[in-house]
Amino acid sequence: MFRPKALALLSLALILLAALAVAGCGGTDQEAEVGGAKTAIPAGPGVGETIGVTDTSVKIGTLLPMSNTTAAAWGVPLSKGMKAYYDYINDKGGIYGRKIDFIVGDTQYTPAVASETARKLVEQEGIFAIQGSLGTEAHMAVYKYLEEKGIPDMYILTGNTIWTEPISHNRFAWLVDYIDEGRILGQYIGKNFDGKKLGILAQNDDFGKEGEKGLKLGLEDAGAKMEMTTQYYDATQTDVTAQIQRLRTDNVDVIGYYGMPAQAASGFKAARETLNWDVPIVITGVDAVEIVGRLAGYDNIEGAVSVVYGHQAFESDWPGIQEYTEILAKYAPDAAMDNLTLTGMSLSEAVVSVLRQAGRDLTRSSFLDAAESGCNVVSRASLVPSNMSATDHRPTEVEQYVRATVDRTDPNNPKFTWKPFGDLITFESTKDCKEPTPPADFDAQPQ
Amino acid sequence: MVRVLLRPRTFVMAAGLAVLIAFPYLYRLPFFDNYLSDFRTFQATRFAIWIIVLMGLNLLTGYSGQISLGHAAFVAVGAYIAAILMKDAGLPVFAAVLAAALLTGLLGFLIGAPALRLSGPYLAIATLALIIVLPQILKHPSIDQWTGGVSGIRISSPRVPASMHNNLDMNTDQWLYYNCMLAALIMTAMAWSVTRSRLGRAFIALRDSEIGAQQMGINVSLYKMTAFGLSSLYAGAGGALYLYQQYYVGPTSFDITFSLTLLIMIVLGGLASISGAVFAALIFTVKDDLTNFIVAHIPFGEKIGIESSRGALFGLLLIVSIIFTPRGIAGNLRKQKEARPGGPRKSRIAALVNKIGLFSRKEAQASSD
Repeated sequence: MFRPKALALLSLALILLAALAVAGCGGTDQEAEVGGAKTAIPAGPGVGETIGVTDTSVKIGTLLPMSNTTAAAWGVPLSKGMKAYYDYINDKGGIYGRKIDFIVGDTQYTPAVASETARKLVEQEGIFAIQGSLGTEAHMAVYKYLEEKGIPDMYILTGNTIWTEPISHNRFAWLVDYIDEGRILGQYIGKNFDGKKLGILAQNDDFGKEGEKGLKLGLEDAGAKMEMTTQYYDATQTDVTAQIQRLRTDNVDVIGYYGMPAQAASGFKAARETLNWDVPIVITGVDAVEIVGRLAGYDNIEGAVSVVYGHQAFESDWPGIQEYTEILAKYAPDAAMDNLTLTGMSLSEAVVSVLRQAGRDLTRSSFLDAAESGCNVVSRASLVPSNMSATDHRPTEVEQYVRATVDRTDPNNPKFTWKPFGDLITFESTKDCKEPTPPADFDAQPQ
Repeated sequence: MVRVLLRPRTFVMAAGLAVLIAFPYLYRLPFFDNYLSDFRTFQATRFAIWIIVLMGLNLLTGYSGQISLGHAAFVAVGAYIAAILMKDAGLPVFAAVLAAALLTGLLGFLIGAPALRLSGPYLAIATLALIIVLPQILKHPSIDQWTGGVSGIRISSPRVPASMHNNLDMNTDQWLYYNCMLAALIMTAMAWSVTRSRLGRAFIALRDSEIGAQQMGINVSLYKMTAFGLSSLYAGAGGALYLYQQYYVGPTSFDITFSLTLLIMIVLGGLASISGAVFAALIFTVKDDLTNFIVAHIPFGEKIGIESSRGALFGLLLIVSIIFTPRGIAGNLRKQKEARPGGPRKSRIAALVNKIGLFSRKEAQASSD
């Protein structure tokens, strides 16, 4: 079919490609793996220690989905909360005279865009640190890069175990990991539904699988003997009616649900509305936010059990929440006070407390050392003080059961909350920490 | 010899080549350092990779007229094959990229078989199925020891060879740029020669009239499968280079959105044109910067929540450009050229296609330029 000439051209091109590769690609990752000797580019501590820091400012970036996907519904309020808190700190003069220059990078919730945005923040904007990155796969594409460059990767907003196993000096998680969280939910199920049949509905990825693992561990903890069946759905599908239908056919008595908010809402609707099925649902803390209630419909979600790791936006009698509400009203008047803006603010507050501890001579090393030295750190929203160490990069190690509750005292304006019940469950891994010596002028810095 | 060098076309090509070679170092000069950085080099590397991917898609869709909505699946396959070969088999990068390209090409050739029975929207749906099932296959427990399941594959990060670093003060980003850009140049030259060969003319004949092509003695099934195979080879090479640059690939790295965007880009850039694929890659690379720039400069943008509607903004840009440049950027430039006084320059190939007499004069001009 080919003329000799075309064939010759084709093969010539292929040979050229091969030649290019042979000539060019000599030095590769394999060489780098063999040892540091051949690694030409210096990396790690010592390089770019003070990038993004001046006497009057420090540049901090975040990686959030801000457009194109439903996840933007999380990125936008989170970034508003983060920014509002920094505006508040800047108004008070900043930390050691440095105002926080906060930059939001859009990941579109995809790995390819996330890696490009991360590099833009690091190389174009010259940020000092990254905070609050959201999205497992998106962050998977950037975390090694940040590690190699020695850039503080603070308080990742997904609960995968991979971020802290193994621990890297530059990387800190924020959420309770999904296995620990699932375990606590599993213990609840084991205690309350022993001898019955559990249907697990999980997203078919790391998030869902780790949650499923945790749920099963929790049942063992509680010594429960339960029949089990598992249904998976794919992250790209937003309607889980078929899976709920299947669990109904299997006659399960309780559902343990590891789904993202859009699918969670679909699941509640399918069970209560479509199938008129009043099955108890125990769901991941990812969904313990107000927006899931709005998406699912209050009548459908009422009674569901979940967990939270801090005080919530509706607790207007808690002083910390009152302060947050005031900050938000002043610095982001268009944002609603909910658990997402709250998370954004408390995350920024955690970074600020590390900046305070790091002292006047701010470098990436002093910052990371300060983050590791955290002892009895309390923020406005925390349930218990948090301890950190070189082997503990998880600030949040506490959970509180909550139940989806609808207050109908005003029938025209029902109020939806995740209402706490039961005792706090703490699993702090750093038991004996020593409070670090505060640097000079520590108390004069705003918080 | 001197006269050859002074020909405008040669001159432009030489100048272009010089810019491509100098680009990664420009940011170290005054003036340029305001605009360029290692990050721009990184983006230029992405640009080179997208050229390869889109060039392949253009061979399939632009030249042969087979619509593929699932082209990203081949990019993913290329990336995964390269990842497995580098990580598990320990192959050097060049061999892994080459093998990934060839294997993906072979796979594409075989998957091209349904295209023999399907055409138009039906083929589009069949290819769409590819990109939908691929993540499921990649995550399947029976092969997740190789594909890494839901977590994907991470290879160790690329490094510039010490000799290059010491002698040319080259860093890893520049190193990756030269590798990928050279590959893009070679693949572009290959596409150029293919489209101007008997094979390319057969693709065009297929696109314009299958029956006509058959009448001319073209083996329709073989050429259709070849078109699929060739474009998959490009996709595989692009995917492998993407992996080399990114050192991570996951099951959703290349999703439906990515796949559809590829097709949109090729239409925007200009179907059935080499420069069209280059324009397409350029738009693909800068589209987020572009929308960010517009978002940042819209007055009162924050009040109307423009931040979260960047997707809609991009859609609007698409509609506008389709209205004003329905033949893509390359097609539009060509139209202007044709409208020049004295008419377009006649190329030898156009004359040749005319001699075959398959098309009307205008179509022949359009498809051969």
